[in-house]
Amino acid sequence: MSTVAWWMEAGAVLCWLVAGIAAVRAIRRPGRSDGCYRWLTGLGCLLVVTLLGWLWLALDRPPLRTLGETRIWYAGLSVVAGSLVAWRLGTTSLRLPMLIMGILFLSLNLVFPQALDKTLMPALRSPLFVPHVVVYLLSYAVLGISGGMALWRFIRRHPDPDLPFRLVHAGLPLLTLGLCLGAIWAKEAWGHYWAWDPKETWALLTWIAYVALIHGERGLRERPRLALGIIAGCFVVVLMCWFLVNHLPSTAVSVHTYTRE
Amino acid sequence: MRTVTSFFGVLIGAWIVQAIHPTLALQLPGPPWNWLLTTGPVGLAASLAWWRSEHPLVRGLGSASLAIASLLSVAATCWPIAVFPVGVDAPHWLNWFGLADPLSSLPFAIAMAAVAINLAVSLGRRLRCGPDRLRFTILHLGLLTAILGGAAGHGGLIRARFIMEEGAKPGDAVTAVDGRRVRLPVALCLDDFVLDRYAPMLLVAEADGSLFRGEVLIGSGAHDLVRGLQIEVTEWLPSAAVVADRPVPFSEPGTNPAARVVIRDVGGGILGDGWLHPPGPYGSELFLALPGGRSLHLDEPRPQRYLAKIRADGVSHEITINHPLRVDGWAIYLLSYDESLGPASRTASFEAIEDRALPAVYIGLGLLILGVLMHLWKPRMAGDRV
Repeated sequence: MSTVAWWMEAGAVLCWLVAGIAAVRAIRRPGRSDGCYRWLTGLGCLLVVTLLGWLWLALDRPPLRTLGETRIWYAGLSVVAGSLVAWRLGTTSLRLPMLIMGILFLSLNLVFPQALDKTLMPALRSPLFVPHVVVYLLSYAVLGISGGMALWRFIRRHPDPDLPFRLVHAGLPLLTLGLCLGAIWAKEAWGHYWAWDPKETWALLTWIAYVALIHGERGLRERPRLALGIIAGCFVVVLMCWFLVNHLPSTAVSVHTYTRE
Repeated sequence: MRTVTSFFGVLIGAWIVQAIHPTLALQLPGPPWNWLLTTGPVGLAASLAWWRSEHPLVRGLGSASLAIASLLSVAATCWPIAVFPVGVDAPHWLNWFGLADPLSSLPFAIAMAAVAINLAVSLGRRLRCGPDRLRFTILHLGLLTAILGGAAGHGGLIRARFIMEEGAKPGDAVTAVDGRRVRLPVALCLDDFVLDRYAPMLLVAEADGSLFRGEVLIGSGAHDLVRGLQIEVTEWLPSAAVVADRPVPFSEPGTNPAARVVIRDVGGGILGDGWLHPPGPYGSELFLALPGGRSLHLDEPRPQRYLAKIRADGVSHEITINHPLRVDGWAIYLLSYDESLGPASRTASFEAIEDRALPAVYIGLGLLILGVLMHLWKPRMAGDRV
């Protein structure tokens, strides 16, 4: 099963790599048709969606249990959500950041392939499991593109934080929604909507970082390089919450340890 | 800006007090004082903001700067529980900063109070100024309601953990976590505890100690490929005990399965042949040692579902991990069972919780979700005030 998944992931990475090259060529030669970029990006997304659908059927459970499975979702959502936001805002600036995020996280699965099995722990058998995790991953995807773009502009000394801020305004509500759904589920499963579990505390710290960021937006827009640095830094907190928390001493007392599998 | 400076002054003072008295732990009292202590100051702040919305103090207390400062202060005071297993194996130096128990520390209380006051004043001003930017008003109101409900609920919360054994007499008296004896609204007894498990999976242990799990749920005739080893099940006992290093059929709750396997390398050469059995109450582990210091094991079957069939005042109910029993404001949760016995466990542990402030928390979360959906429907324009 994991061999088939590996080849489908490799196919998606290849599509997006070539799409990325096509996007760079389109930037260098404006006016040329970007059909190659569109087709290959779409094909990569189709491969990821097919992979997730096949895994869902083959495993007889939502493929959202392990870190490797969430990376497939993250990669797919980065490209799909990035394309939708780009279409909505009428910009081509998101093409490379979203493809880089998708390629990066799927490549992690190629380097560290994971065993796929059908087991699902009883606590995860809840109707809130899929919406909670998918909404979170969607917010991480949008905030990831924002952070990646902010970092790129920070390095390139292109101090325009407008697009990264717009993406934060799309990602933060999703983060809030994920937090609320998680609290409701935790109450049903464990009796406490907020138990200060290390993962929950990191989720709160992530949320605080982004809420503080948008409350300071007016001032930060006048200091664009600082704004870009902070937006990129906020995504580090997201990564802490998502998987780096598993390497902290606090994980010994976490009920979210299933993500370490 | 003066408000933010004053806030940081108060916070640093609180931190010094906490560092001098590291054992200082704040707890909200029980009802009705918990409600008065939480909603009173917040209500006053919101009223003041509504009455004198343009007063410099009100503007300062409801400012975005104080929102940022108070939120970052909450983060600064609660970070130790995100990094260290506080209360279990926390580093000693946290005591020097009064952070051994961050959630009952004075700085955390000050920071949370500042968040609540900031939200209340901001709401008071918004209500005075009319329903402009309704979604932000709803978001702030939802957050404030959830925080107040959570804080007040924490003061009035009753939690009791207890263990029930199959066949024991019904009882309604339990001991709460704070030592009080409390009576549940119904007398409970455990009729049956049921644990369904998945079939086991194979596990390859490498010479360096690293473990690699197979992908297939093992059963009669199953094949799996793990770390280059082709493994085929030739005999299968779904329920077995181990006697004199041999599995024998034995049917009792809690028995583990046993599998006889043939292991081949990629070229088809046989590397091993023998029985596998996970350790359990009815026999020790059987595994196969392979060339190169590797070994093949049958992993213990993982739990798929567990449920407790209980009787509450003579009426039968089933409690599972995502479906608690609700009776007269109490919710009774199934927590765990005797994991050393697995399906043979005749006991289950439960937690009974009474939280009268829960509706406030749910109203707050509902408003937050509504505000988020409104926000996603009509995205914020660049430069809008939050």
